[in-house]
Amino acid sequence: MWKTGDRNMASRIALTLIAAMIAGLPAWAQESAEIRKYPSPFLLTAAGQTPDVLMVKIVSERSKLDFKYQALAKATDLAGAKSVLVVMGVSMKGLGSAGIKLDEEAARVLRLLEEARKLGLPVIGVFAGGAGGRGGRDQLTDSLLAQVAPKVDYLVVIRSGDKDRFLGGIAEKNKIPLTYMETIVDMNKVIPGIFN
Amino acid sequence: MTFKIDTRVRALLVLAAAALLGTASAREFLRMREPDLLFPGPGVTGTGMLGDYYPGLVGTPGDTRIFFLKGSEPGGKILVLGGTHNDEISGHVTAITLVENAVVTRGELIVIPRANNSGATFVQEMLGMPAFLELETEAGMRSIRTGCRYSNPAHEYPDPDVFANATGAQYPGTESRNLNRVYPGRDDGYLMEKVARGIIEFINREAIDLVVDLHEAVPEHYVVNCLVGHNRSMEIVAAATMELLMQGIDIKMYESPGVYGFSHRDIGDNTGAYVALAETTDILQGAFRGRPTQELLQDGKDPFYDIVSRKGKVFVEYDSGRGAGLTERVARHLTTVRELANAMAFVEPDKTVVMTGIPNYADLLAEGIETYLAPK
Repeated sequence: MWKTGDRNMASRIALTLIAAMIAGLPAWAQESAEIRKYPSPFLLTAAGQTPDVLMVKIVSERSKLDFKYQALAKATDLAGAKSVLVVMGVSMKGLGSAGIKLDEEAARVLRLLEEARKLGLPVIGVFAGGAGGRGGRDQLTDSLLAQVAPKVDYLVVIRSGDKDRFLGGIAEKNKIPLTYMETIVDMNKVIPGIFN
Repeated sequence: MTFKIDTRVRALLVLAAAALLGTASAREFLRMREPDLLFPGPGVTGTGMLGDYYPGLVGTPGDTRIFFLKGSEPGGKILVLGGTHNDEISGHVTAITLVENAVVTRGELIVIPRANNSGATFVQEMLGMPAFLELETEAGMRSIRTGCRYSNPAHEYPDPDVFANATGAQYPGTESRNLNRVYPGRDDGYLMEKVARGIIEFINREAIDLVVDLHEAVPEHYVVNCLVGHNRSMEIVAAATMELLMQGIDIKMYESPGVYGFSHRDIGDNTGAYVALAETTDILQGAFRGRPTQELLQDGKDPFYDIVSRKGKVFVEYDSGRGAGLTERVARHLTTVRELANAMAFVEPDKTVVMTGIPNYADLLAEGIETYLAPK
């Protein structure tokens, strides 16, 4: 027979276990191997002017996806689009070539995402960790990711670019589903998988 | 008396030894001034000299050979530069592999195997680098000069204390002899600046569509195993990078930063061509390598780099069991040239260049570069 003390102890243990499961649940819920589906045509743009956006463009063209590419997309470019794909990463050379400063770029992207939200368009954020990738000294990409990533509806991230789970943490906090790509080559499966 | 005789004999012996050593050294030294024998393959439809396009180079050590491989159908034009930095040997070897094996059926491939021809005439002093690449082929030994990244100071001396190139970018004085710091060059500049001017002139007059500049980099530098593209070229670079990754070739891509004098910046800014600079791994140039031997030149196997790699100080995956061999480096470059050509054709179909006769990556790794460079 259980004594009162034993029952209290068992209750505490059970509650502790349940609390731990609930605390861990967001991590299980956010990271998903399943590729989410979104409608096309989609507007493809860059956040930070990383050249990785060109890889996504190439993959999209070769997969014959229905999309429009605009590196410096504005709200007016959303016309006709059913979703938005933003490739995130800062390239100072890309910004320089585009004649735009980082704070102006961040403002542009945030305005675009706000307008997309008003129109009910889902936004997919991709981080391919390439030329606009993160590094110990590179705070610029992290700063932009911190602003843009929380505003998207689905994150696709290269695993090697998120070893510290910076984006994983943003996904958990904001309850955004996240799919990790093991290599850049996985883009050939993931991007068409989202829109087909 | 005996002492005097001994002294004279000793003096004569020392003189004789000095003469022998000097003669042997001089022979090796002068051998580097002889142009390499090339064996143009069936795809070569014409040859020329850079001086044909830029008379300022005629009769100078900067003038250099150009090989044209023109297809019967119209298409794009690709220029491959080897030997911008001669000690980055896979660039030059890739270029001569193309000259001796490629056949173009559509468009045109143009190859300058020694962009810095002056630099092929010597090796960097005090580093003990092999002066020749010695390849054992089925048809016998083939010697190919290695050379230096700089032009020969015997051709132009002295260096300035500080070198400012035509764009105003400033570098240490020795960089006046580094072709990849002096673009777009100047008519009244140093020898390498005139070579740069000549190359720009050639690209514009021939209306080249794509320039590929082949290099090597040390593993401890982050710009290694990569493509660096002029901003106008990034779509092609991105497409080629993706194709190479899908073939299992580990490569990164970068956009040319705002540093001037480099081919990926100033050829792009001063011509209408797409420009990509390709880097592979070069252990021989590294700061941590052991003795610079012929074996290290060819197989890139150095246990010191295992230590450096374990400490996380290199930007490539390296183990000395596999090394970073010349065949693999040339295979990477050949595949890169082909994928850049394919990418350009995808983006602009009227600029298609179709090349045959070039081994694919796997075949070249299996057969070895010697198979494709046997003297004829």
